[in-house]
Amino acid sequence: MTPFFVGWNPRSILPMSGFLGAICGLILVLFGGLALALGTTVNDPGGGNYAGDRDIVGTVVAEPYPFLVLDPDAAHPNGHAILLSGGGKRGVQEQAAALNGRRARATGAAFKRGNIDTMVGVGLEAVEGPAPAPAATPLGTWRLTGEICDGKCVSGVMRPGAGLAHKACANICIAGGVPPVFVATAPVEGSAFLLMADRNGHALPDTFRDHTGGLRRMDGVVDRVADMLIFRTDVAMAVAP
Amino acid sequence: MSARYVPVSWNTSKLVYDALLLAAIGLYIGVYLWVAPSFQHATLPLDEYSARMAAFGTCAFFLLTLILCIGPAARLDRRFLPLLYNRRHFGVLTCAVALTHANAAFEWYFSYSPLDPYVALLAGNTSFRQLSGFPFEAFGIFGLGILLLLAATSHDFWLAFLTPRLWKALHMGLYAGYTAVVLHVALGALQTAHNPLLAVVMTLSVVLVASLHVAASRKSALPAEPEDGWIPAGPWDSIPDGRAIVVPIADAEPVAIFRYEGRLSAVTHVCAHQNGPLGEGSVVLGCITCPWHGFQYRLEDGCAPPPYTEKLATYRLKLADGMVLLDPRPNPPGTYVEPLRVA
Amino acid sequence: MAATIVHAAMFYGAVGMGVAVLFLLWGIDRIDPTAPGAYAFRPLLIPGLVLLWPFVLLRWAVLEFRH
Ligand code: FES
Repeated sequence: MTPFFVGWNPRSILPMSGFLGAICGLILVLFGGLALALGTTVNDPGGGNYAGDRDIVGTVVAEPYPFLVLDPDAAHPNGHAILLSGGGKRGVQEQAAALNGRRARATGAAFKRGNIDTMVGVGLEAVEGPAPAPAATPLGTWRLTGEICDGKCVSGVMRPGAGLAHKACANICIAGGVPPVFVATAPVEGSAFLLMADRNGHALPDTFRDHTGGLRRMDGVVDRVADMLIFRTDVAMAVAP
Repeated sequence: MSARYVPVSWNTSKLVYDALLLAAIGLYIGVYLWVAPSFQHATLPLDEYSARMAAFGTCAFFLLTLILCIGPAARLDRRFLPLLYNRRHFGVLTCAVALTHANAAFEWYFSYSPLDPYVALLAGNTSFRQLSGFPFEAFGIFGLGILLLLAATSHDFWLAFLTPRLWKALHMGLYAGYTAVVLHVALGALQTAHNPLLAVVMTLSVVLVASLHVAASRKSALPAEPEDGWIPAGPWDSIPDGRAIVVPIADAEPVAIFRYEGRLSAVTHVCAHQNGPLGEGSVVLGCITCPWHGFQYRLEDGCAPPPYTEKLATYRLKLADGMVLLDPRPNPPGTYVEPLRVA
Repeated sequence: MAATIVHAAMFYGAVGMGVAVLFLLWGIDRIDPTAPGAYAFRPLLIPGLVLLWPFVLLRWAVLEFRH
């Protein structure tokens, strides 16, 4: 008679215990192997990372999204721009609007990826002193291909902080006021990261949501403000390349 | 077998089963989170939450695949039956692994915003009209909902309360859940995966599940035409001693015809416990024994031996030229039928 | 829309919690002959009761009539 297992009789498992042992061994080996194979081939999240807590002083720019321009130095003859966002998936629009064009101190945690600098969990307070308007240079019309990301996650707060699996998070961040960053597939004038704005240089309209996370091609105008590129575009016209 | 809330109580095989399950899960998660990163070629490792999402998510998928393979594998080869025996714990553990994945995603992607996190979960991505960029979270939520529902109704109370027929139908929902999980991964993680490995492994898993089911369903033949109301069930000596053949009946439950000590008895193929395939069971200690959880029934009247109270429908049999003929009309459960003497 | 769904789900869950308490403290003993005296398994039923409470009420009513 062929062996037959009955749950309430543990001894009935004996005739097939060899077979089952082999199956269980196989499953364990398979699980370990799969975990190793899949765990070693995850996407490279890029090099964005925490760069220490910082306390900096510069000129506040509130539009299209808040950033701070540090005073010019040898490395940044036009001043250095740092994107600002608040705690969690929030922006610092209110604080920045109150201090727009004025000198202020920003404290928070810095994240850096390539030539994009961001600060999160930012607190702003006015300080006395000159607040020179940052130099702005128009760079003309461009057709760019890349991904709309939130400037905070993509600069290393999340690794990975881009891609379609991260799309909902990017939407929530940008809608919450975190500066959106266009990550171009090819660098524009030396930078692959561009702060985004609508045609008129204001915050993006809500239609951005359908275009985050995936590759898009869009036309727009690029300006350099201090050392940061700003990409002004009609996000509703974005197309999948 | 109906001291109802302890019919399948703890014993050594269950403990071993659970220990093995936990070992497999622990091994997978441990290797993924703590061994694999040192072999990665990445600028920086994944952040802690993203790594947890990936590890627990893929683990839950493989566990689900295994669960769905056990059923047909046990029909094809009875040596797999012990794996089927404790599938409920398997299911509940899988649900826990899936929940850990969902919780990591929920905390990382949907919390800390000006929105209520549950509102954020539903409103974060609304690009329902795109394929690439589709809110794959919806499929994940649906799949997790099914796993939760099945885990929540896995206690034997539910079997009695919902009736076995409904309970079984509900638990068939696992197939819908698996489909949703496949879509969740295909429209989510696979959209941006640079390495094709995950796509390959997922495809192989789905193919394995599908082909095992097709192979197992081939085993059940088409119903034969009745002659004067009696269905020919084949020569009696084709039934192995102590075992049964299963006779499909058009528009009704299949019938299992058992041979034991030179006599034949016919009962429904559907176990009164959880609709297990009785005809794939054996006669143990003189009783028909279900392959799933070992419920037992007497051959002559389909009744579980006292103190248990389950009853099966019985059927009439007759012999003509060595052929077994079956009357497909079931007797009321528990009806005595004199076993047919054949040798 | 999303907020409405979340509120509806919370309402459903809250009612389910109420039904679960009522059922476990009172109903189950009336309709399930094997339940009286057995308590340890009852908390295990809560998630299912919360998820399926409309159906539980229906089944409860049916079984109540049968007794
Ligand atoms: S013993 Fe559980 S289904 Fe037959």
